[in-house]
Amino acid sequence: MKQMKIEPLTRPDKIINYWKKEKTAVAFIIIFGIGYNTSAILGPIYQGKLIDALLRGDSLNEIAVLAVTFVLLIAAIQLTRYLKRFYTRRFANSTSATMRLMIYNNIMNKGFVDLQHENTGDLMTRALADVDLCVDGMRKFTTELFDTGVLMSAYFLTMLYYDVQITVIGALFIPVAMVIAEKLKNLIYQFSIDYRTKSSEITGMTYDFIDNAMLYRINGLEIKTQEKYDLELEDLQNKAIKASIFENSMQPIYNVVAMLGVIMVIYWGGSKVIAGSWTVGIFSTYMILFAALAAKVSNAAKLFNSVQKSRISWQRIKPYLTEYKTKNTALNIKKNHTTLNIENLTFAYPDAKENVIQNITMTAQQGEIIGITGAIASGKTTLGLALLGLYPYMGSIRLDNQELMDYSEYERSQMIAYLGHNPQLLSDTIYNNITLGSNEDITAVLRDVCFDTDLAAMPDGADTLVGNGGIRLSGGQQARIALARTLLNKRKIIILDDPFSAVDMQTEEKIITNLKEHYQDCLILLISHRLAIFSHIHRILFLHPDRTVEYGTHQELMEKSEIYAEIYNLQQLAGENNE
Amino acid sequence: MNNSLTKKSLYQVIQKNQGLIALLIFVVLGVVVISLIPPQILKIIIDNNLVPKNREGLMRWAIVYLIVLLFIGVFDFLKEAILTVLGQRVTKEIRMEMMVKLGKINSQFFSSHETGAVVSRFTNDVDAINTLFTSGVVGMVISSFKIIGIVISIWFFSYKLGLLTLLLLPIIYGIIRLFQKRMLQAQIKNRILVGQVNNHISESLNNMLMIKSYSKEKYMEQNYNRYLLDNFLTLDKVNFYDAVFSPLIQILRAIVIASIVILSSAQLNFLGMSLGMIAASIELISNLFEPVENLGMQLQNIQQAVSGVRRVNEFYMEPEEDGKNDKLTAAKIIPDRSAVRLKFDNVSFRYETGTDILKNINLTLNPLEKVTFVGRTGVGKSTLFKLIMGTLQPTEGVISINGIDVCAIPNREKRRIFGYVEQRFHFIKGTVAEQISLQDEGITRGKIEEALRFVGMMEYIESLENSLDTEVTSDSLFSQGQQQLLAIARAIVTDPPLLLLDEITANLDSITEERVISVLQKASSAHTVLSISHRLSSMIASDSVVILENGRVKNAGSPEVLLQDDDWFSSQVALERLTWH
Repeated sequence: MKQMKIEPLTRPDKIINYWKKEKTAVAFIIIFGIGYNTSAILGPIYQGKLIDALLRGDSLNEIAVLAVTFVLLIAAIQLTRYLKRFYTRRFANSTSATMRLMIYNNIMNKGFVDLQHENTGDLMTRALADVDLCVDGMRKFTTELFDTGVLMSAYFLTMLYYDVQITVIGALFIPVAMVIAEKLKNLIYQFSIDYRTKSSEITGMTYDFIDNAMLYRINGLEIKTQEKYDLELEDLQNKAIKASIFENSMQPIYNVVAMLGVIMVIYWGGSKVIAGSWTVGIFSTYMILFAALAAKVSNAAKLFNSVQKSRISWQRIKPYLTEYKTKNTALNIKKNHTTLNIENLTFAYPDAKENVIQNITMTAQQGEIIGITGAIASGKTTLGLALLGLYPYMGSIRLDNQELMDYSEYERSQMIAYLGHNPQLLSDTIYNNITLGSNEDITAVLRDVCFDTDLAAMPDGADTLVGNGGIRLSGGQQARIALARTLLNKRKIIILDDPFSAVDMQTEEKIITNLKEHYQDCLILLISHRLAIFSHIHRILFLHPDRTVEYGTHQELMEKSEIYAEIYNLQQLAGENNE
Repeated sequence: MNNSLTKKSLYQVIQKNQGLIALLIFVVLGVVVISLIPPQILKIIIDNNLVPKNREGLMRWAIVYLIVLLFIGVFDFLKEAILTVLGQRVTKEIRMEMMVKLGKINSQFFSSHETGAVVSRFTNDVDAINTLFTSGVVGMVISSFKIIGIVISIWFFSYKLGLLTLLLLPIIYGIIRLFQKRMLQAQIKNRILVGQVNNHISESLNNMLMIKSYSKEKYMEQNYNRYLLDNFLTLDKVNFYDAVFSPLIQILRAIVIASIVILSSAQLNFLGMSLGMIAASIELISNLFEPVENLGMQLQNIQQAVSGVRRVNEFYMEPEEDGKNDKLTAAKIIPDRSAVRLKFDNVSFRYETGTDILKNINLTLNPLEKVTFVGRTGVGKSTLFKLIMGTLQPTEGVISINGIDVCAIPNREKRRIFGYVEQRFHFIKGTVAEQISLQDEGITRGKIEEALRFVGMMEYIESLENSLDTEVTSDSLFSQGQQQLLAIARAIVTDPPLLLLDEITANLDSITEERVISVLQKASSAHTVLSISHRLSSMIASDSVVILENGRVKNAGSPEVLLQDDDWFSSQVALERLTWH
């Protein structure tokens, strides 16, 4: 039964499909569930038989045979019970994995703009907690079917077989216990909601006090926050006590109520033994069955509760359970002779009123490095993102004489490689971060980004783990790993948005030289505010705060644009200190 | 558990709840004793009524049986309830102590500890202590008593069976522990993998731009699938132990019962017990498994909770701020707001980790002077402000206001002396008015309105649903610029003589920036103003500029002089005039 992969599910929004998917497990659950629950009564019956055998004074041999039979029988029954339990858990385990996979697939295939819109991170964590709750409910629902349904009927029928009158009257209080539990359910639910709400409120408050600790301290308000915290904790304490007492401590009470009929059982049952129509063994068997039935009932209320809770969770995750999607990877692009023609490109973020870039027109082609620069908020980064085609734009961006928007998302990703300010490293090895699963040789790109010496100093080499978000590497190292990734996955166009801010000037210059030499089959767009390197590249697009642009070679801009020349000279003067 | 906070809190709760503790002891003993009675009644019924076929007393024993069950129910309920109450009181006590500690803890703690990790000490770790107390220690006592009670009961029936039970105990315990340990190992392994699975999701969301732009959705999903599969396989193992454990116990129990019956057969009669005793012994031995099983779990709970206890106690041992002089008041330190003299006397600062931040800073500020500190990021400008406010202590040297060491100023007075505005506005939980007053009842509504009017925010706030009483539920109620204006209102509402402005326009667009600057310009006339800026164009008109480099004062003087003398400063100013950075 070892699966090598978690398989997707069709129609994941229909809950019944999860049982259908786990056919084998569900079949086992049914077989062993029925097997166990119907044979479970044999345990108490045989225990009674053993007592009777002793009473009769049977021979050692006979008793030994009976005792061994008893043990073997229990072993067989418990084996089916084990199998039932195991497969119910496996069903839950697989279902949880399937649901998670489907949710992940849904999120990953949402459009980029949609993802920006919702607070997906928050929704996701909630959805994941809900998967656990939901699956737990599904599992309990599955076992409940047998344990509460089949087992209780089997016990009840056996008891009826022994004596109708005792069973009917003795068990009269069992439904009473169920009704009380049912009636209290809503109250308990309310208490537990109150407690949970308060608890998360307190966690939020604790977070606030700790996160803003310096703020409160500087303003001398710590005593006040402490007083408030004390009151809130008192409230939480009381709510916790209420919820917990009602949720966990009521069980013995239900049990007592269900057991009220035990008087009849003992009296009438005892009378029957005395009258000779029951043996002591049957009496003992009956007592065991009766107690077990009462215990099951007092548990059932809790079981119903968790099934109920899981329905709310199911409703919450359902929107994420959509058909499994795969990206269309049909590819119809030109391999070389890259040309880029931008005409009157205007761009505004969705929901924003103002244009961030306006009427940009430029052309560029393979083998060139184009610098893009401008003051703060002049739209440098935005231009880079617009060229990725993740957002809708106005005007025209033509790549190899076809409009960018007319390419599929996949085709665009195969033509344009992008690197933003954030290195976006995964908590994996250096090698995997660069190759992203492509198994290529990374020696050349590491040399291009001047990481070869860094790597030589690492004992694990390319298998070094970078830590969460690259935390184990320095800022400059992170930036260069990310650049290596971009270069390894190089496309016709490479867009680099300020990748060198954490890299020193000398290394930056070396990398630029490498780019010029080794990536002549690409068109490189380099966004930066450090102009020093711009004297070595082909052309520069200069964005002004008033949304006008200038486009030309470094030499041309030095002559034509006063501001460009001034900034260039000032930066030369300020040298390395410029940040 | 030999360390202070947990012990102290437990002790205090015990002190305050002596009655409840006494009741708990009574209830625990009651539960242990009463739960031994039903098998005894069964024994009596079988031996006195059923076997000799005698009806007399049967009804009485049936009633007694029910009454005993009632008592068990009530005592069980009471036990659970009292433990819950005590557990929650301990939790509350510890949390409160921790909060008080937080108020005294040295400020360096906050720079070296992530908020999330500290919050988890307040929540998860304290909960772990609760578990330790209720299901750990007290639970263990109960389980042990139950086991002892059962062994004694059986001993009364037959000392031989009592001896056998004693022999059996370590065997049962050994088997159970073996399972529990295996299971715990599998669980720990699984928990790590669950972390990996969850982390992959947040990582995917954080790196969405990269994933989308390279079309690596498939790759990411494959990785996720692999993590899911690993998780599935380890959980399958946990499930195996979980599923097999209870059936195994049942089989063990059947073997014990079968043995008792064989030993009691007429031919052997090894144990010499009546039929009632045999039936009762079977019942008692069946009941023995539960406390033994619990004992193992409780031991495990304690082991797991110990790390939580340790973390909480560690937190409690963190160094505290000292040197406060509670007699100082703002009025005593600054009798005349136009005569505030701030002085740095050979101040150096180094973090506990040993990194030097500031070295030998000597500065004297004139009353009502406007000073701007400039320098590259990471040069220690923000640290300097924390030193001024006394939230960090200099490693060497003294910072004083009118001759009084700032570290001696009690926190409650600080708001009357310093108005501190940071780069980012920190919302607190509460209404708009409370964002300004910080829930200080000493600040009147009139003052709040006045401050908001001063920064020009009153009109916008009045347009909100409940005006000043609107609950701030998300950051998006105010734009970045508005947030900074609120920050200024918060700082000036107590009318402090000193304003400290830390990169307040770093996140603003130029139009908003202008507005913020003009508000500050207006406020600055009656204040001594210290500001930090790495964008010089956005600083308010300064009397002097201090350039920091490598932890030292590289140059200081009026901006006019520095423009002439300092190349770095002049080119920086020019670049920023062009809004370049």
